Amino acid sequence: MAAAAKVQWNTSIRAPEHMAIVITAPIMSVIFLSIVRYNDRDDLVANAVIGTGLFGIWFVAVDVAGGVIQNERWMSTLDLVLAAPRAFGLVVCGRILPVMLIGAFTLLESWLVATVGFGAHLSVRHPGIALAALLVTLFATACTATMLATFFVISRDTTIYQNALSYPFYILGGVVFPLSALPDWIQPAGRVVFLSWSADLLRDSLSGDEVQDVLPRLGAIAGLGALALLLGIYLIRKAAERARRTGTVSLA
Amino acid sequence: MTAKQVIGQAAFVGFTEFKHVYTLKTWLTGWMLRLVSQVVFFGLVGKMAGDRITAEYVLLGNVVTVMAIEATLVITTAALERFQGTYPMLVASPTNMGLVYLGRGLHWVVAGLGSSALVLALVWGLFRPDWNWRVAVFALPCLALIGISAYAYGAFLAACSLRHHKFRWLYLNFGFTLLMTFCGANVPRSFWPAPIEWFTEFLPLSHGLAAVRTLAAAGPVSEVVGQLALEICVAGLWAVLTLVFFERIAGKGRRDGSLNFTS
Repeated sequence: MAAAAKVQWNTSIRAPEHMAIVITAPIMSVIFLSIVRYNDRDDLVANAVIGTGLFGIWFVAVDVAGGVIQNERWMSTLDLVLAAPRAFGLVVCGRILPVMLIGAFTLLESWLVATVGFGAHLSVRHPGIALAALLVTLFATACTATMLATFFVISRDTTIYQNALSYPFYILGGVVFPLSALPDWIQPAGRVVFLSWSADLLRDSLSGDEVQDVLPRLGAIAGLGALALLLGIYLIRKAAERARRTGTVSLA
Repeated sequence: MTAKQVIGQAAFVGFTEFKHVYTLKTWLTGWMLRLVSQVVFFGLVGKMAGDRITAEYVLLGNVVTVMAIEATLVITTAALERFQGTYPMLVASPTNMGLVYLGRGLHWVVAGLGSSALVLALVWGLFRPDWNWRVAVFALPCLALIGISAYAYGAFLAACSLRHHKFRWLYLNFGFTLLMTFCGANVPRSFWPAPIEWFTEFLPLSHGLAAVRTLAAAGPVSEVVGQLALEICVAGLWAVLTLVFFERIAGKGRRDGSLNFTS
């Protein structure tokens, strides 16, 4: 995982496309904040800021997960990586982890847009909880994106699925609005998406009220992430076995 | 070849390539899923921040924006000529390269028209907004005009991206997010500071979306026609800029030998 992380870091700092979110995240932040400000709902500034941050973190993870598979395929090295004795899922997860820093940076950008651009006052009332929630969220994101990489192994064009794996997760993860904004029947599905726990906890860490059940909520995020990683390793192995059997590793 | 023939042949190449981009299954489970969920997402943000009227305002804005987003995908098509090694041949040919590009990605306008019409139908069915029936009847011509002006704007950005093709995704994302933000999709253009509001007069989507909103509110037909006329002017402006800019890019590329070597 460390070697994979090193490869990805060296790749990403030379690849402007991996930095695209650093440019687009502040604009997304402006969209959310403009809706909030236009409707005189400054109480929702935290939703807009945290929403943009989670948006950026998820975007980078899915972008890199798809990009890893696509690039290995273009460079004809996917066959070699799949033939290696180590689980490919761990390699993918290792490559996603370092770019989570780029995703986390969008949270800072969003906060800057809110305070400098919109003159909003946003203080973190529980910094320890916020930091812990952010770190666990980064871990869970990398793990979940690893699971989703299965789609990319079996897909000819990863861009199609990268697109599909964005907004449905923003809705189910309640990244900007709470899950209660969704119809009752869909809310349980949202609870299976770690982003919903992350968004709630991060929003609570900004409020002045006492934050309830911190450890169980952190555990839910980490647990869902760990479960996704295990499932990802298994599913990618299965997908790779099928690709080997049908001769479609490079020709999906 | 006449300009019409150049655009027609370029469009034919684009449509032929497009058949290999999606299957019906990947279009529905990939692209359409993304577009519908994007519109629903912003609709829910609107609902959280305001009332039902706000939610419907944001929903309509984002449905129409789908057309602009898909039309600007021409930015990614432009880089194909570089990858296929045909870019210097286009520059060497006697016609303006901009004409080729104005036809090369026209399939994105047609695809966008289909996508946005389907998203409109789905969102209308799901949320039952209080939009006038005229939207259902006259949406297609409005969307087509928005698509053409957003396409011309996208072709201009494609020309800019040719010298920095590694940044083409950045040009695309920045290009359509700019339209989503400032052209009235989520909040009225008057919300923004005067210089920004003035600038949006020259961006695609602004006037077309205003026309659709007038239709939805059963406003006067003259206002709809006036806004659509302005959208046509915006399309013309960006098309001219595209032709001029491609000539400059080609000229510079010939002079410094950078046609195939910029990053």
